[in-house]
Amino acid sequence: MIWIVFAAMTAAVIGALLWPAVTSRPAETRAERAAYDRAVFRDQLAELERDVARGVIGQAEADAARNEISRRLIAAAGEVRAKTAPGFASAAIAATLIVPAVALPLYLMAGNPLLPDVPHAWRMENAENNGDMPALIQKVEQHLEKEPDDLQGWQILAPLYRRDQRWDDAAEAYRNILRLQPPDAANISDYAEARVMANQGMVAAPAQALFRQALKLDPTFPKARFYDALALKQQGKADEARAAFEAFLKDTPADAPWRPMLLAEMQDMSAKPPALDQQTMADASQMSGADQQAMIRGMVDGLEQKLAANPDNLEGWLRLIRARAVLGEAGKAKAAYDRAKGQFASNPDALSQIDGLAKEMNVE
Amino acid sequence: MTRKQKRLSLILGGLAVLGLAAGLVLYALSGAITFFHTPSDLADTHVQVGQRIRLGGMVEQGSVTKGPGTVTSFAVTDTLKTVTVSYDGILPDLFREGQGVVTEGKMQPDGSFVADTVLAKHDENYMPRELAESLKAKGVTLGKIADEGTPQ
Amino acid sequence: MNSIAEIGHFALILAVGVALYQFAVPLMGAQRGDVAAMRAGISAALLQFVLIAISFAALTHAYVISDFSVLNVVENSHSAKPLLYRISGVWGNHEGSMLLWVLILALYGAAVAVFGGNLPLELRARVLAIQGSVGFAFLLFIVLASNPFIRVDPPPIEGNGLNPILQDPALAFHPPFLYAGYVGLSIAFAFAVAALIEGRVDAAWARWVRPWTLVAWMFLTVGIAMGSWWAYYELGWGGWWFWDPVENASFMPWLVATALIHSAIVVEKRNALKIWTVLLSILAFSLSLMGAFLVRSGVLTSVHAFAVDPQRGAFILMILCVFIGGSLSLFAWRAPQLKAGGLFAPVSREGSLVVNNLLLCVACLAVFVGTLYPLALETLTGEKISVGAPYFDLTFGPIILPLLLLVPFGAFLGWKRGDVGLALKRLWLALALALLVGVIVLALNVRGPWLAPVGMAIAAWLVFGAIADVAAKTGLFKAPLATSWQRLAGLPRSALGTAVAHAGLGILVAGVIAISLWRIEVIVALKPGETAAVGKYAVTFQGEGPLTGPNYTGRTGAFLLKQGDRELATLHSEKRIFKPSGMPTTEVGLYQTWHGDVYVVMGDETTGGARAMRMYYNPLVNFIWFGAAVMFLGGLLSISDRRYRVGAPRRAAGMQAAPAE
Repeated sequence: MIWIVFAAMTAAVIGALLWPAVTSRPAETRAERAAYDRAVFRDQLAELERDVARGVIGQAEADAARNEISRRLIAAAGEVRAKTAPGFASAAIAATLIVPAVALPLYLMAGNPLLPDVPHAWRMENAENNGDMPALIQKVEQHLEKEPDDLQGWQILAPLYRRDQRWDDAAEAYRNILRLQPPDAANISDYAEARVMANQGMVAAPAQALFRQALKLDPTFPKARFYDALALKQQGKADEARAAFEAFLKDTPADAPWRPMLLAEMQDMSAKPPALDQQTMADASQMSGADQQAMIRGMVDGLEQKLAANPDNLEGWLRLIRARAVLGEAGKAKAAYDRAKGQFASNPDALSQIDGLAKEMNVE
Repeated sequence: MTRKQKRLSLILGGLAVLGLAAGLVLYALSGAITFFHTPSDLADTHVQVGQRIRLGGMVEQGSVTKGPGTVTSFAVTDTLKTVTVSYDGILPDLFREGQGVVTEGKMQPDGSFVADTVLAKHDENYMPRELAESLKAKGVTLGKIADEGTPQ
Repeated sequence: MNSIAEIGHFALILAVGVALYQFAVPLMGAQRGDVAAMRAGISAALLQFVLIAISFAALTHAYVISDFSVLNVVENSHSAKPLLYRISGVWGNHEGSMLLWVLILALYGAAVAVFGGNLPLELRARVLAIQGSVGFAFLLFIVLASNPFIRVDPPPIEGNGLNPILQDPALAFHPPFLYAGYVGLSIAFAFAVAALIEGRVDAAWARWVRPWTLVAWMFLTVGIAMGSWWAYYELGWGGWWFWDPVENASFMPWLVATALIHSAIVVEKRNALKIWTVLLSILAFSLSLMGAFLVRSGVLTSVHAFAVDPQRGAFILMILCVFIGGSLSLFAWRAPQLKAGGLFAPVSREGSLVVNNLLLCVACLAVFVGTLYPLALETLTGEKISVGAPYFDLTFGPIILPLLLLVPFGAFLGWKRGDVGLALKRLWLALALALLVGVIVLALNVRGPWLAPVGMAIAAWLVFGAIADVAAKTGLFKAPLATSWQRLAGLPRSALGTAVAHAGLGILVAGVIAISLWRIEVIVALKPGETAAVGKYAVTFQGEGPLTGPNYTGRTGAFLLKQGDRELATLHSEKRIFKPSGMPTTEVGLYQTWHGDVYVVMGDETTGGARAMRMYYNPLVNFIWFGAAVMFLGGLLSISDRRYRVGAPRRAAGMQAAPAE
């Protein structure tokens, strides 16, 4: 279909290029070259006369100019006629083939003839009919921007974000669900899980607190039990973690979908000293978990040393507190928090920032 | 004057103007230019205190402190060396920690740098071209800087 | 379903072929004297314009409907963007701006094809062929190296958005004007190369080159002024010109184009300076090509360059070498064959225009050295430097100052042989008034810099000189007023245009001098309720509130502006954060008066609940853009002169009999 359009365009172009050949008669001649010059000179003379009539230039100046232009006018008359070749050379006609010869290969190389236009509005209108997931998501997003309290909207969106591994967005969606629903083990755990995934699989202290909260509401809720145990493992509390995993395994039916994952974690524990979970390793880098853990701890220790040398650095302190809390080193986090408070005792702005962070990270 | 003489005088006049202009340009180039340095260059080249230079690098994470008043101080780093810069004025919109920046000003006797101009590129992923090249020459890969807040 | 984007793509690619045809066939026809082959250039030029226009319309369509199956739209647009900026987004990026570039090139080519009836057929054919060759090179560059019609499958649902700093009305229309200027110089270039091929400069040649250069010059003037205006109020630095490489890249062609419109007068009136004018035409377009190269390739660091790509830079560098190198070689080979024209004394209108050309070119050279010296030094020694405003103030200023002094004289010198005494006699009043202005400034500004009275006197000299010019031509104060009025109406528009443009230059100079010497800058941290003094104004920070726009959010600060006890206005400065990039921009609060602007920028938060504020009083700053607008108007008057409508030979007799307008 589109090739017909292209063919028509090409034909129209060639036709237009050939038009001079069709319309120009062999007998047609052009005005000789010098005639163009003479036209200009005559016009200059006329202009000169107008200036003289207006009194813009003096008589002597005008005479000199008139002399000069007239001289050039006469000189132009003496020129030879340009030669004229009759007709439209066949070479020129053949040259029209340049156009398709250049265009076709270029288009075949660069073009996408079969791709249709996709107007944004059309895509949004037909999102349901086409099962167009990204468009559907955007529709719900736009709706929620206007009505952020629509629980159903967030409930549609959250699993879709999850599926696309947009973890930050998913966490935000689950947070909204939790805001609009009475808390239960399921919605708290979903929110906490999204935060863990957004944190590259690390169960940070606030996420762990959430799972604990879920377990308070339903001590048997599988997802919360799993991540709570995982948190212990990541914190290096191997014995506690193993005990938690084993207790969980006992309550897990043989056909439970999470059973293989659980077994993998337990096997990982017995094979190696406690390390990061598989997810993090896959996500973060090719470094081994132990290396990565060591690297992170090394970085944080370095930061602490720097702050000891140069303590007037609020950003640095905030980062240190956050890092310690994320690593689950509650005692060190608390120590950093206390020292930061001492450092910025006279700065209410900084204090409120430090306290805000401590509250967010559950550093008491 | 004959035609030839006229032409000659025209050409001579032109050359005279051109010569004057060339002198002016050379004079200006000897005085009115500023050299670009990275923090580690500074240590190598011994820039004199009070000489006007451009200092380029990345704004170190966590180094920006505000006040007193409209003064901002921050550390400019090329990952090898770091220089503390203070600037009295309004920072460009795209001035951010971890982003490239070019500052213009003078070195102080205490080794810090007082800038009167701060430029940040109108591009979110801007790395000053001079800096990128200097770093490459020193064998620093850029990925290192991109990593968030890597304390060295 | 047919895809409009693909039709646009195909039209663009057809235009490559047509451009090649437009280059080859008319050139061959002109060589052989084949009338039909020469005429083929006309239809090819029109066709090229139509095809590129279809292509440009298709890309615009993709932007308007937010077709995110086109990569260029994905990268530079967003469905939530206002329609105006969806459209301006077409040329707000590299690929689209190149398409606009060739569209304007084709438009100029089509204009030569349509309005060139009074040109000798060979000349028109050759001019169109050269235009075709430029078009071919850049179309090929677009298709191969920066194609705006690359598609994405499957398409993303949303685009990345335009760089928010470009979301601004002045910047939306700045590039089209600037390009119309850059590309307009291609006409002068094509005429110059055609003249070199023919080995002759016709009388009609100069009549054509001057108005077309004038068109390009007018667009360049407006484009540069708009860019400067945008930088002034959008960047929030309070400055209007930064001697930035990208600015210089547009300023250099402007300087040479200014020289060219003056030297073309000499060619037209006196048949002299032909070789020089041909060279200037080549240089003007070469500089505008170089400007494109500098901006696109990123070889120079600049505050406002597009994203850069070395491969594209190399491609454009190649085009540059072919056209600049080719045309200069042709010049070296053929220029000696061009016959020298009329004689003139050193002190004459011609002489003054030669001085004008000399100074403008030397000034351009100084800018050129300042712009490229860092690059050359780095390539040679590896040393990195930047050449900033001090260099340009030291070089450009002293070179251009004598030119400004000479401008009013030139207009009073006669052709062939001028009389300085006579010119002075007619100019004494203007000179006296200018000196008076200087003395007044000196008296008011006792401890100020010496440049202030001198600069203001020069500005006044330019304005009064232009008025004296018109007064002398119309016999004002000598003849009855009615007669003068009649004469003014009958004055050739080009003469009037000259005076107006020169007066505009004077206005611009006044603005430049004033803002350079008398600007007041205040940087202060303010808490809500606090007041800062800016010259004779008092600015009170009233507080700030949240801000929501179509595709941004942010904070807006309110400032009460008072002079004494009089409340003048409430100004708003905004800090915007754009979706989806999260990129911040600042909007300036501006209070404009004829004598200057109060300019308020809200900065970042500092300690203790205050915000850093930057405030200026910019005296006479609007004179700069008003002056540029007056210069544009002068160009417009000049171009409407009936002289440029000389008919074709066959109709020449009729033209002669036509009554004067």
